[in-house]
Amino acid sequence: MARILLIDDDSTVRYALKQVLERAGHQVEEATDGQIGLQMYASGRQDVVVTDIIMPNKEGIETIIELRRMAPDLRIIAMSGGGRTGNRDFLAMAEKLGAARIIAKPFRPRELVEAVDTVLKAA
Amino acid sequence: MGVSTAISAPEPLGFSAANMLDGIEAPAALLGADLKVIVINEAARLHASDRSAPGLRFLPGRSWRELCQEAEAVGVGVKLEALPVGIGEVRVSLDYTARRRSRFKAYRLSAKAMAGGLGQVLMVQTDLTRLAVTEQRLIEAEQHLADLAELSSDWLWSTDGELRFVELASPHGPLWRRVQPRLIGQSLDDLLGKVASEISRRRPFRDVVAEVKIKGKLHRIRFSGKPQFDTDGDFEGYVGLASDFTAAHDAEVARDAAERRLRDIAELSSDWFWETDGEHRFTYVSEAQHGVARVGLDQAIGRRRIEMIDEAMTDPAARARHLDDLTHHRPFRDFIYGSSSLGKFHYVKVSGKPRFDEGGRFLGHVGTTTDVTQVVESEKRREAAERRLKDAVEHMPGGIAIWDEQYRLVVCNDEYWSPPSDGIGRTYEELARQFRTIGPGRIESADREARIQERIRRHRNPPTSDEVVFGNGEVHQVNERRLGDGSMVTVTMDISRLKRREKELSDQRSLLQTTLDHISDGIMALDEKWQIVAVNDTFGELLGLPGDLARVGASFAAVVEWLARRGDYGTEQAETVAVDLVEKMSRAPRWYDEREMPDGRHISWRMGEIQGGGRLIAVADVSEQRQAERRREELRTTMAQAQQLESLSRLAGGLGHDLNNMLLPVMTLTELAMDELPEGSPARGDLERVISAAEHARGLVQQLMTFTRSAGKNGRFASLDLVLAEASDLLRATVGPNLFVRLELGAPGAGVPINATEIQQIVMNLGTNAAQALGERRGTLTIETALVEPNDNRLSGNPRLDPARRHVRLTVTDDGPGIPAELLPRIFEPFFTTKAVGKGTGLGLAVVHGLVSQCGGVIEATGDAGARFDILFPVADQAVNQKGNHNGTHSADR
Repeated sequence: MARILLIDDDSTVRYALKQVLERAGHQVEEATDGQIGLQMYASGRQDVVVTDIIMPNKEGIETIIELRRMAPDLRIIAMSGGGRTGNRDFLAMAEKLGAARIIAKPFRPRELVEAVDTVLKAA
Repeated sequence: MGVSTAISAPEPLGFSAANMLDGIEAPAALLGADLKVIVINEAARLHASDRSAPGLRFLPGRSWRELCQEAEAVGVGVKLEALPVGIGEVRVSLDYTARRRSRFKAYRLSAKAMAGGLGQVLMVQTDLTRLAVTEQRLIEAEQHLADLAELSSDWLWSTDGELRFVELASPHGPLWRRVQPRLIGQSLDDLLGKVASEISRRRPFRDVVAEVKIKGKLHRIRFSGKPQFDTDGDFEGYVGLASDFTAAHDAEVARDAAERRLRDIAELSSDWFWETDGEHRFTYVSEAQHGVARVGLDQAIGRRRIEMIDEAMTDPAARARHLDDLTHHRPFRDFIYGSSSLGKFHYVKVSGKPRFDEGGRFLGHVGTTTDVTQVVESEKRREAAERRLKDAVEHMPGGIAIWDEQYRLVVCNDEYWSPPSDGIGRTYEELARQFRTIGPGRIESADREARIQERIRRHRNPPTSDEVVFGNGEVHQVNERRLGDGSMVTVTMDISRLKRREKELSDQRSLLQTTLDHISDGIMALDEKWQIVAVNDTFGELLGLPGDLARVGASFAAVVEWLARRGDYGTEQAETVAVDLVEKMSRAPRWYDEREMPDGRHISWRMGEIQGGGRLIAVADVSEQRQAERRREELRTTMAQAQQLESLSRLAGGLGHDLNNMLLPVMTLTELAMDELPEGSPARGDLERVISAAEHARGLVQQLMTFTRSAGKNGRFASLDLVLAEASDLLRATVGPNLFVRLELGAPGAGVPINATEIQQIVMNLGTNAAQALGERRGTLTIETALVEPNDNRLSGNPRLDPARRHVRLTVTDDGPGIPAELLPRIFEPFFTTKAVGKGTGLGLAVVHGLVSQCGGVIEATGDAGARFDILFPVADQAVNQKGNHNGTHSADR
């Protein structure tokens, strides 16, 4: 069982993923964008952060960079519905910046559960 | 008929006849109808009484026949048989000569019937001795002149230092013996006073005439002399030659006088006689002698001659003198006047003398008249002709000169020789030495003499046509011709301006040619008849014409015909094509054409009108221009396509993102819900279908996203052949058993700047495409690769390819229905599909295009016999070698 911070601006996505993760036995806290996510992590220091990339206010790449600064060993799973927007390949970039795993949306529930298990095991 | 008839002739007739006879200077007689002498005049009486006088004596009673027989007896060369015995109306004359006491005499015996029908005959004996003698003298004088010319009568003479004649020597003649004593001891300068100054300066002299009186006769002697000096330079005297030309001079004078007399007598011999009364009215006019017919001459009777003078055609001074002579009853001679009183206009010359009776009372004039019309008129015509010639010569624009057959200048104008009077009479040779072109001082002497001789030679062998350059730069054209009578005419014209123009023109022409030769276009100028007047070498080179076809003077039609024969204008008859084309061009003031040559070059033809006539044609090689235009067009299309794809990819990217986000809860929540359901619940099956549909949607979005990403992938590369070999199993599984997949890999080890998944995606998409096109039918999909070396032709067609790089070609072909040509340009557009709804996404080929383009490759499709896709990838091993550079390039692209 791990404490997981889930950052996504889409409430339906958050609801679905929270269901998946809670059924796998994890405790899930939700943030609606990167800004809120950072504040929640600063106060909550969750075990794993699952974050979307394309979000309002503070988008995912920036969020990952700041999270990494706050906690160099933090396990981050980045997910995105668009591998690329404009000229930037966000998932590839997220991986470079320190996301332990990247998952392209949409995915089957077990893909996320496995990803979380994997990063937890690696720790 | 008899003597009595004559004697008893009516008195008025006798009186009239006597009057008439007295008016005649020569012995004259009137014969009766029996041809015997009735009356004689004073001259005949005097002649008959002088026993020593030669000639026939007219005595009353002597008959014509008797007189003729006497003439035959004394005359020389008289043929009496020729004379008619009876005279009647016939006029006869007999010329005979006689010698009496060694004197030569010549006479003419003339007889003619008198007017009036009484059978009377007028007989006149004219003394022709003077005429004959003068003729004889003339012959003698000419002979004498010839003799003198033959006998060179030069004498040698010398003087001493005091100029006194010391020696004279002669080869001939008694005259010299008389001259010698007259000259010896006389002083040379006394004798030759005219050249005294030359002699005193001891200079030579030539042809100085001295008159020397010898035995009462004046002799003309011509002297020429040269001074002599001894070895010390002291003057020794003169030596020289002298010749007496008195005889020649005299002979010349005599000949002139004889000629004049001969002319006078000859003129007098075509007379008719007339007589006037005290009031100057004609009382008698004879008929003309010697064949001069005077029709209506007798109508003059009773009229005054002075009234018959045409004043306009007569010299007024001479007329006034003549009137004065008449008024004062003086004799007159050779008064010439014009008259048309007697029918036709005539000039006549009249001479007459007055007659007086015993009491000194003026009775009138008798005289002779000569018709001189022909002489006067021909003289006037000659004068007029000469005047016209002179006028014409003077007014000629250029120089003109006429020469006689001795090459002496007869007439010329100021332009030829100024003043003309200075040149006339001199020979061409004399003048040539003064010519401004070859005259003194112009040219070195030896050369000058040669040139003068050459000019004279040419002058004597016309026709000539020379251009002569003057010292001041003027150029004259000299033309010489021989005229019919052996004389020559020279015409000169200043052609300096013409020559300058000619030079300017030739300078301009060479400037034009130089300009033409340095123009990169082919230029041809044509005149109105479509003949070539100027052309440069480039013209023929650009069109590949044979060397002599496009040359000045040739016809443009021949050039076009040659091109037509080569096949430049299709397969029609070459002549027809050429004629039609020239016809078409001649109708249009401007004309433009562009055509591809057999060797693939594009040649443009431009034609324009030349101001003042003719056409100018310019041909240019526009191949590069056309190729550049084509490339620009292709590039533009490619860029437009790229932009289109770019915007679509943005759209697709955003859409894909949102779809993925939506699909996520669908898939996860459905799965969670399914977990809630008991095993065997019928809802589980439904939810599985939801998931399956979502998976399908995810695949679709995935493809969309791949397309979106396609422009962004770089840096990775894969071995094409290897990847294809690996992907073939998956492809076979995907396309099903109906499509046989064949691999022909010919580029082992060649890397391409694209990752394996993408290569897979390309062949999978193309394979799927083929499978769907074939449907249920069986077919073959061929996948082949080959290396394309740098500078291969296949690399030159697309600006996106770098011809200097190696490339690898991937070709995917099927034997399906192919792609209609009109669809070819659109098949790479996203969402373009010909498949039924639900069968294809319309993204497959767009994704392939995106992947290929992203790595610097190109894809082309043909569809006429099955679909064929040719993909050219740049080979990546070179890119690997220059990795930094390559990446940098791509970074800049992004």
